[in-house]
Amino acid sequence: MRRTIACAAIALAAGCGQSPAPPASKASAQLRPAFGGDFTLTNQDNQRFRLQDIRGRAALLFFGYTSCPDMCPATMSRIAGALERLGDSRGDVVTLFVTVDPTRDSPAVLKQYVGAFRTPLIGLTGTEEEVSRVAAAYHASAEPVPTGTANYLINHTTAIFLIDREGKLRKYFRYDEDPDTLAAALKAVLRTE
Amino acid sequence: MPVRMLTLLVVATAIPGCASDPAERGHRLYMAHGCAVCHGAEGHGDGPTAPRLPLPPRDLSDARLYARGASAADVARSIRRGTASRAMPAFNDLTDAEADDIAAWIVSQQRQ
Repeated sequence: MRRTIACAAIALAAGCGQSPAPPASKASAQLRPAFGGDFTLTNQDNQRFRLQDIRGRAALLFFGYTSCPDMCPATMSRIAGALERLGDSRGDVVTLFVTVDPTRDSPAVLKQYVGAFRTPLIGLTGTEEEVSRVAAAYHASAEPVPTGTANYLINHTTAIFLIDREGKLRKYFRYDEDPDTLAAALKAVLRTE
Repeated sequence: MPVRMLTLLVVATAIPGCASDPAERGHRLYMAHGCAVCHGAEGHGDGPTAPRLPLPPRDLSDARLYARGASAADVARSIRRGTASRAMPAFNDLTDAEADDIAAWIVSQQRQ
């Protein structure tokens, strides 16, 4: 990816290669209805995926890239911890990893990546335009950071988005949110619907 | 052993996360938390992301490659705090017990 994925009116938190810029409060934020929404991308099996496809289940959505050395693995670990705390309800939650690096993260690369997690994970990619559209809808941003090698880094939004069973974005959390807090929010969403 | 106690033991060992062996629990956590993405399923530094990382992960089975000590306590510390080079981020979402279990599995894979 050589150009910036659509920038947002607000920067939620950016990471990978530089210090993250956290929001003012560590507390999760309530979001306006226009924030988020349905989208279509391509999953790791090269099948088209619509957010509506998982209607009836809650989702944790995260923007990242498979060669991320720090924020993405650390965030995925927190999500795994939160899902472990759900017990039998974990099957009611889908984790969505949307790449901000569609140039390198093909469906085949995503398939290898998600296969390394025992925690169920759907990897999503698309054209730059498709990914930019989804990022803009979730007010996410991404900016390549040259390293002098082919292995460039990307500063990107690291927030974790909580989507309810109807596909509505309910809250977002910092990348370093406590897994207990994430699990409690998931339980509340699952309980109220 | 009374039948009731035997039944409880069998049930406990059959539930994921209830393994009595720290290394066994550790490997489950290692896989669930995505350590294999960089380090590989067996810890050889050959995860799918490894070739594209700025600093490639080491082969965890080679005890000679640990810059900060290869004991379980040393490994658990690196998991929780990360490394000074930032090649390894801090996984401070893990509890001390979880980090200890993952470290136990990693140490069990080491060859001298």
